[in-house]
Amino acid sequence: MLQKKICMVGAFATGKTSLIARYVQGIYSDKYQTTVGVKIDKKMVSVEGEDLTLILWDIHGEDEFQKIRMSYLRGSAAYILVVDGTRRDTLGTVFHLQAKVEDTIGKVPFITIFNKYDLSQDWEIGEEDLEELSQRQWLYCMGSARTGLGVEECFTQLAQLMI
Amino acid sequence: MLNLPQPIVTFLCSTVVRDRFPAYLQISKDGALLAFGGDCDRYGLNPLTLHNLVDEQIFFLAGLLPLEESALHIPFLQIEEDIIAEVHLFAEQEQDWVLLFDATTENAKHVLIQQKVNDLSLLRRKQAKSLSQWMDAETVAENILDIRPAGEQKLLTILVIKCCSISGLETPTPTTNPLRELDAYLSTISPLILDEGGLIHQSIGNSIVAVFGALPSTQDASQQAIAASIRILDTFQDQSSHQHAATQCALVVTTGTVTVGLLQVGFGKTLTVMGQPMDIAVNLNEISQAGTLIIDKQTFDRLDQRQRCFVPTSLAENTMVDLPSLYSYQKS
Repeated sequence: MLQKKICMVGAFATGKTSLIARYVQGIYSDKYQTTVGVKIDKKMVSVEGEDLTLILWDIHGEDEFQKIRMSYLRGSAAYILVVDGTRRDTLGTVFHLQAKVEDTIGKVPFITIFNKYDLSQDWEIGEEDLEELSQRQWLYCMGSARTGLGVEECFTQLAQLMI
Repeated sequence: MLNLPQPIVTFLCSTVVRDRFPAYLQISKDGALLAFGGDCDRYGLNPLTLHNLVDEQIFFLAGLLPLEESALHIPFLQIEEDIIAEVHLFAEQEQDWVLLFDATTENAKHVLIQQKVNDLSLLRRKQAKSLSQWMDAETVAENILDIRPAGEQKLLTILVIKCCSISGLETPTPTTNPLRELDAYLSTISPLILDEGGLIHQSIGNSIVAVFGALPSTQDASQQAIAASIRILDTFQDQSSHQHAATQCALVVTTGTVTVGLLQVGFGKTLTVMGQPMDIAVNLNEISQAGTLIIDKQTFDRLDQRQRCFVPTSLAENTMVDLPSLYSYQKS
């Protein structure tokens, strides 16, 4: 069966681990537990009649003390940039990280997910931010690991780009 | 082995190494599993079949082999629910080796610290957001900002950041939007200032003024301001090299006694900081160059080992009188 490695990249506490837990196991916990290092999961999917094993690398969030080692991304067929929609500065982090990732592994499909869309009262992403993504020709979607909104669709859309 | 006597080597192997449950894999350059051993079961590496492709048997290796570099180290890798492995991959001419050690305990220690750091960082951000929303409430100024609303003299450190290279300031074109560029600068700079305990005071034109020492902290305000400044410089340098962008900042830090209080502006009150350190910082910032960090003597005197990163300087275009001694940051 075809195997594809997908890395989750973003600032800390944006919900990378929760998105994977929602996608793979269909579960969600409100308790924030930081990731140190890398967690690996996998999920079998069928995309346009083709069976795929997605190998999901949940890489710790980037912050002052933990810088993402670009060597982790080696062999990735795609990646997901995770933004916390209630912390606008995490969008700046993915702009910065995307450039580093592309420098390391070249151009492969990627998608940006604005997580925590259920927290609309704290939402900090504006129309002009989305316009900027459109100008960069980046694919993006709104999502919520808590409610499951957009999660399956995000991974499916990315899987379709890989085959 | 590092010229160690045999009893020491034996001791190390029988304690330090054994207690970390080593396991190994030997893999040919075409990806076939040549050999394995040690405590593979512990890491969920079973069943394993010799001469079959390894990345079909061990999914975390997919895409990593054959190694392009001489070695790759993954300090914490969770493949089994409760087991974290430290993974070393290293290459030889004919084969690659994968070595695993149990790092579960070590990881738990790191998680404890990192969790605290992240929780505090999120909390600080939340507080800063609340502060900016409630700045007009005098009780907040008094109780949280540690200042008397009616005004007082305080020793503060001022950081002025000029956002250089904003295009289209005089003649905007359809491809430039100066406000958006300034907004991008602010998005990058704000968390770095907040992280180091600073408070964004105001923006003047394309410059941002932050104050350190207004928020209660156990750290010295000058050291916090310098830590934030160096992080800002590094961030923009990193962005320039990866995004090929020309974003750069010019930074000036001054320390001294200023008058600080709340002033009625329009319908609300705003934090006001007045005094020579503020004037010097703003004026110096006007003439400083992109990519530089200039500090005054008061700030320099309050630094510890970071003093070594600064050398005396005089700004070439400097026409200001009564200017204190200045120092410029030299990245080591």
